[in-house]
Amino acid sequence: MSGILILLVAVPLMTAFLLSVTALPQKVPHTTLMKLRNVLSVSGMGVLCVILAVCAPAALSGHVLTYTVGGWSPFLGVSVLVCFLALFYSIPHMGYMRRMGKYDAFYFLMVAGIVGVFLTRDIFNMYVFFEILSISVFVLITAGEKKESYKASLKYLILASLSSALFLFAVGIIYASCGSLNMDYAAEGMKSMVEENPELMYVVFTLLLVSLGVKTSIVPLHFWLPDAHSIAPTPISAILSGIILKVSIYAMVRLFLLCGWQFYSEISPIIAYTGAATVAVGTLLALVQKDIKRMLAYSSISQIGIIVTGIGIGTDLALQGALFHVVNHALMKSGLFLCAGIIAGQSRTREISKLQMGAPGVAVSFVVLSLGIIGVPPLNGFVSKFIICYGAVQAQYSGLAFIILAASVLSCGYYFRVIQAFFKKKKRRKKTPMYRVSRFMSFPVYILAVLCVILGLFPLIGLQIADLALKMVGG
Amino acid sequence: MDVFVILAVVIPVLGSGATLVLPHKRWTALFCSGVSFGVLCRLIIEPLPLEFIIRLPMNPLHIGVFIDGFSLIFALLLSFLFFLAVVYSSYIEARRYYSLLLLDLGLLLLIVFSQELLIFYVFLEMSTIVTYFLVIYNETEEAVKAGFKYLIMNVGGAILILLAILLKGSSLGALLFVAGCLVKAGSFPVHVWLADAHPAAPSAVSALLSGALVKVGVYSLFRFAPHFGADLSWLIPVALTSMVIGVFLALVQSDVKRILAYSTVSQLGIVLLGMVLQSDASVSGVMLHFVNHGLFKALLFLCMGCVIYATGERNIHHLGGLHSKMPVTAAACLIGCLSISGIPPFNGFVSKSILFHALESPVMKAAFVITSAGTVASFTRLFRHTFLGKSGAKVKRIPRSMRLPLLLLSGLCILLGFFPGIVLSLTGYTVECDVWSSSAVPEVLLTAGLGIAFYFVGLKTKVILETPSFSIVDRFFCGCGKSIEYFSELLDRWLTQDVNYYAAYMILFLVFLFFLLSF
Amino acid sequence: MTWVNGITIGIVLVLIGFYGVMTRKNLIKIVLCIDIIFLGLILFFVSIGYVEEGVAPVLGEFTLFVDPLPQTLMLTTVVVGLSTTALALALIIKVYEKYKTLDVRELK
Repeated sequence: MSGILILLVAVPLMTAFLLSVTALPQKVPHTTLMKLRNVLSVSGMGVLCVILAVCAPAALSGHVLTYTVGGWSPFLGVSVLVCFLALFYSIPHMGYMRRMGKYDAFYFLMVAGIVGVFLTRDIFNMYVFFEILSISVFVLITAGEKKESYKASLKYLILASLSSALFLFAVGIIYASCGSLNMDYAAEGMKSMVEENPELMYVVFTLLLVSLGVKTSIVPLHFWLPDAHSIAPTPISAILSGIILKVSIYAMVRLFLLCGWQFYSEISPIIAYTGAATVAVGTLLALVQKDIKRMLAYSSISQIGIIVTGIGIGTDLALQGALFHVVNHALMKSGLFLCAGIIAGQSRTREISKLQMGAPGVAVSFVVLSLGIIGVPPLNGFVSKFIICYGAVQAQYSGLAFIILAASVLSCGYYFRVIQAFFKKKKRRKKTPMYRVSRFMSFPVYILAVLCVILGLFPLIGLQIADLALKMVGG
Repeated sequence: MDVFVILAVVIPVLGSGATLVLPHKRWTALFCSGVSFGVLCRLIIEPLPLEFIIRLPMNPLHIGVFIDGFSLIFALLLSFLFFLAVVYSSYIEARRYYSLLLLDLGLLLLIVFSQELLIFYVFLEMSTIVTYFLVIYNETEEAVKAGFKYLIMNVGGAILILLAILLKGSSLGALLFVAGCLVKAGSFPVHVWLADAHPAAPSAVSALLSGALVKVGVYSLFRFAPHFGADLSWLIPVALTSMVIGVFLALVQSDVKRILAYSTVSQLGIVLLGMVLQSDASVSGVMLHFVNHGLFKALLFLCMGCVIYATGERNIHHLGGLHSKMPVTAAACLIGCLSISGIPPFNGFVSKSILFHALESPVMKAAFVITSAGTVASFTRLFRHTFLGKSGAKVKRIPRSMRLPLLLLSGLCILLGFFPGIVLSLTGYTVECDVWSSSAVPEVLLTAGLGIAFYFVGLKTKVILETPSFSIVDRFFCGCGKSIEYFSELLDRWLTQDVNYYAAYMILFLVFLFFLLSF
Repeated sequence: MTWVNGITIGIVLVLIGFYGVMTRKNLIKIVLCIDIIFLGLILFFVSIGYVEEGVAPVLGEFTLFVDPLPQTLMLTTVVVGLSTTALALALIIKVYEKYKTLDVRELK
């Protein structure tokens, strides 16, 4: 049973290599290559999902599956689901680019990286998988081949390399004082380090916070995000915003909780206040954006701020809310990016004031998903935000609750500015008819919107999973 | 008994989905809202209060339903008004309009029936969003802007209520809750969304906004303020200001629907005042005025809707002399104006007298008299300039479905004027209904005379013929919004730098955190 | 312990690299400074595994070895750093193609 775990990483890697092989033959016509690639990628993803489904019941009932590689996290399921849906989206969208084969190969490399980070039990291994992930993301951002995408990718690369360097530095210090890098053993080492040498622990903590903070884009470290997320091709933005930010949140939670609860309660106010600043800055900056994808990127920053605030508050309830919001935001933001891609494609522009409502189904999904992010009941965003605010008030952090809720009102402002652009009567330009939205592109959006509603009406599904995840990490 | 309540709520909600799918959307909508109203009528004969709990699977919250006399009256009013709105809106084509109306009805009923704060908040927020889509139904530039203002202020109010729920138990919580309810009710400082949303929405929706939705704010104050231990006496100046300012702003508007909107502000001030006083008489007066105001304000909005539909004009200065071409509408409007001015034997007279007798201090009584006079003045103006005088505009014929609600509502106004006991007996509050005593009539004459005097003074000084079109409070709120945007733009420009600076920020943050932790 | 050992030189290299990223305006210089940071880190890491009087961990007659674990980890890190630098340089080539300049101020 536990042997299957290694397959979870191996399958995407193999698919990636097979796909890159299909990029080589020059004499074979494009169409067969495309069909081959479609088959390969869908089957690769399918196999991954099947393996996950096989492992899931055991993991959900609380056992920790271990192999030489490491433990398990239930959030894997959500990430893979979103990746799958984004893959379907990219089939028609990236038709041109995918002829070169590099998109698919790196896509699966990225999936391998995501899965690897979640599965690993060793801190250095986590670093390696982070790098695999980052490198494939750097390439994927440029897949759109627009002029600005290289710029955005380079900016991200420079800042992410700096953060990896800091991460490695922290890993070095941990190794120097604990003698092991396996998370279980390192935990004891770190706890003793807290008692003997708290200064060193502070250094490690700040290094980890800054390095993972760059990847998660909390506030003074968020500068790469608006460019990268808005200029990347749409399915990649969806995955970036939805999953990759959360991967580093997972790393943060895991690593910080390794240090033990006493240390955690010392440092958590800092995390909470950083989170609050992130929420405020993200929301304010999103208000003045004119490009819809940039606005969504800044909104991601503020939602991540809410999650980080939840983590920083530290009580059980707030952590549960934060982890649930991780899942919710993954669903909502990826759905929003996919919708935005469809709508921007149909209106032939990305400026908010010029958008038009194309397919009504996509517009309705956009409304549903943005209501989720604003925090309107009965959607899932409301549940997680409310739990975090409730935890905040219980832990005497009422100001944070106020900031989060004020940000909700402001986010109402900028999301509804887009929605009202759908409703304004506009003179239709006579010569460009709306092209029909391909079913591959709209189905993922519908599925994500429906999931949001379901999780909102029956939130205990998500909350129980969050609780489980928390117990495993050591809360 | 539980079944009836569930039916009354579930049928509109299912119906909203059904109208999107089934071919006969209007009949479906009519059926659903009619059934809902009928089922609620059936509940009248049950012993009240009614309480039960619905649990959803996999959801930690449960919906506690609590119905007492006040809730039932309000619910009856809501479903009746929605039913009439569906009848009236026969000229509207889009499916989503009916579906949104039915969904709104279901949500409002759930708000009225809910027992706990959190569930109440859930449905309140949902109904705000649904109503937003109704307000911007016309899709004009004006409607969209008005809808945006409505949305931001109402979501702000709802978030204030949420904050209050989170902070329950502290005095800040009570303050926030009352503030949130005031925003929803459109009382004085935060009435600006009312003034813009009512003209921009389709007529039936305006009728519903004024007749039903703003009352939700006052209702929630009544129902939940004791949970917070709120001391409501500081609301008295707010209520008095709403009353007076609302009616005087109504006098100077040139858009017919805005006049009605501002008069809603002032009538709600009266209701708020009665609620704050919390004596038996004042509460019964409030409940009666809830129903009465719902009826006659809806009547007035629907009349004006007919006028707008027939002539295509919303500006009062361009209207006139319609009494010959639209006799039914004119008569209904006359009944509505007389009711709202508090003239016997219409229903407004009864509730206003009850409230007036429940007032305590001379300041309140004076303000009340001034308000009533102002109401008389503004509605005299409305009726005279719209229906009397020389006719000029071309008039379209009004379909029968639009006239039917007018007749029904006028009939009810007269009926409740003669037999207010019908409503009062449901509330469980009994009050000595000696409003027909001799002391009432001279008061009415005094008020009416004062009002007509106001009107003529205004006419002579030309104040009410030209509209100064500014509003300080409105500018304040818009200014807040604009300053936030300006600040954000500054922030955006200030934060975009070279990569070098970003790396520097990273290092600085690192060092800063380290120092923070070590000391 | 002398002050000039692997650990401190490693940290100094890292700091030099950071200084470079913060102040240099040429893209290639920034990427090279990132490389310097990685080199410093690798030195730091390997020196952590230093054991007094130990020798290189090659199979032979000696009994006291320097800690081999950091060395293996650093092999991986070298490869990762290499690929990152290669990718960065490829991106710089593309940026130069499109923008005709290597100035970092262009990256706004």
